[in-house]
Amino acid sequence: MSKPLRIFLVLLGVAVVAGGVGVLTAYISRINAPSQTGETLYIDAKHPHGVAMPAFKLQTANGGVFDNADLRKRWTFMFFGYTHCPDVCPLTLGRLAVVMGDLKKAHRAGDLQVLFTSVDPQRDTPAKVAAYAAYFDPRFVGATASPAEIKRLTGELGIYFKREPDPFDAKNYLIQHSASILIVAPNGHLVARLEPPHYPKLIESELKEIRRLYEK
Amino acid sequence: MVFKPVRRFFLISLFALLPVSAFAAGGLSADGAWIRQAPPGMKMLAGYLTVSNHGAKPRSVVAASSPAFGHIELHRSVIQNGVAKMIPQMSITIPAHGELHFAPGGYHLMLMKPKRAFKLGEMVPLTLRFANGQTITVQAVVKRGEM
Repeated sequence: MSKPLRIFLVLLGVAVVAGGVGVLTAYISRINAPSQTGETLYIDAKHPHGVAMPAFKLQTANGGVFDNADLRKRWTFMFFGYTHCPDVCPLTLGRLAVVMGDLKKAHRAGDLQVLFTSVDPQRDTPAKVAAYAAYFDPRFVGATASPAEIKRLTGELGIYFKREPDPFDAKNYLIQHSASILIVAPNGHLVARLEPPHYPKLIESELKEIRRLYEK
Repeated sequence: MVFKPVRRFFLISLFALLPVSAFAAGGLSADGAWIRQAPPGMKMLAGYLTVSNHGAKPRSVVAASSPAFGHIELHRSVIQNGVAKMIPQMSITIPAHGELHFAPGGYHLMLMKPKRAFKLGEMVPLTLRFANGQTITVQAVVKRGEM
């Protein structure tokens, strides 16, 4: 056998094995992925426009304010968390950034915004939350409010959170919190709540369906 | 003569798979280690990897450390009734011939008190300690995060 042919066969062998490993990995991750997520719709015959959002006022970077008026004329994904959260919060915001990117490609992101609200105002200043949110997508808004206002707003929205000690580090604390994504329609009304785990394609198809119901 | 290229095919294929396993000792290996880059100024990062136990006995990870972090904890994110919780783990057992996946939304290394900022693509050493005192060290690449 000629030398170039032998080299070609060897390279082909490497490519086939690498490809096989890739396909197998993709297959395994697909069969392990849950097939669907939970959602609650707030649009029905009784509430064709969703349910009114409670009045609220949050602080964003540079002394800015985010309140009910900022929910108008666009679709809003609301997610609650804290910046000391190393796993679930960056995972969710990263996936919302994917949704934003996908919809941008389809020219449907112009009327979409993401609001990340910190339930940890003791450690998260408005500037800190804003910088954190903007890291995932420059259009993401990060905000927080006084502990009392956060407690009232999350309570009214059914967003749960609770502080817990870190058993390894007395100076640190953890926060368990609802990982739901709330969807607010351009009329400023709450229309859906998506439960984790969140996957970009599922969020996109749910948003499409909710838009259809809303625009009907 | 006919078999030679075939044999070489298998040999080369085997070598192609080798880099997948970054470290192997005492029946344990770890691979695919990465650290999610933290947004600016954040003091809490997460690290992920897969640990394989090639032995016939279960093994337990009990701690992690790195010269780049002041403190590392073993955690597991769980979602119960829509609520995300981080549950600190004193020890995580890897069954015989089993794998432990540290992955987003599940087991993770909570990397606290970073001693500096990390650049994308940078390699950072992470050391896992097992119940018998054995340690393994891997190089974790800093990434923006699986999305």
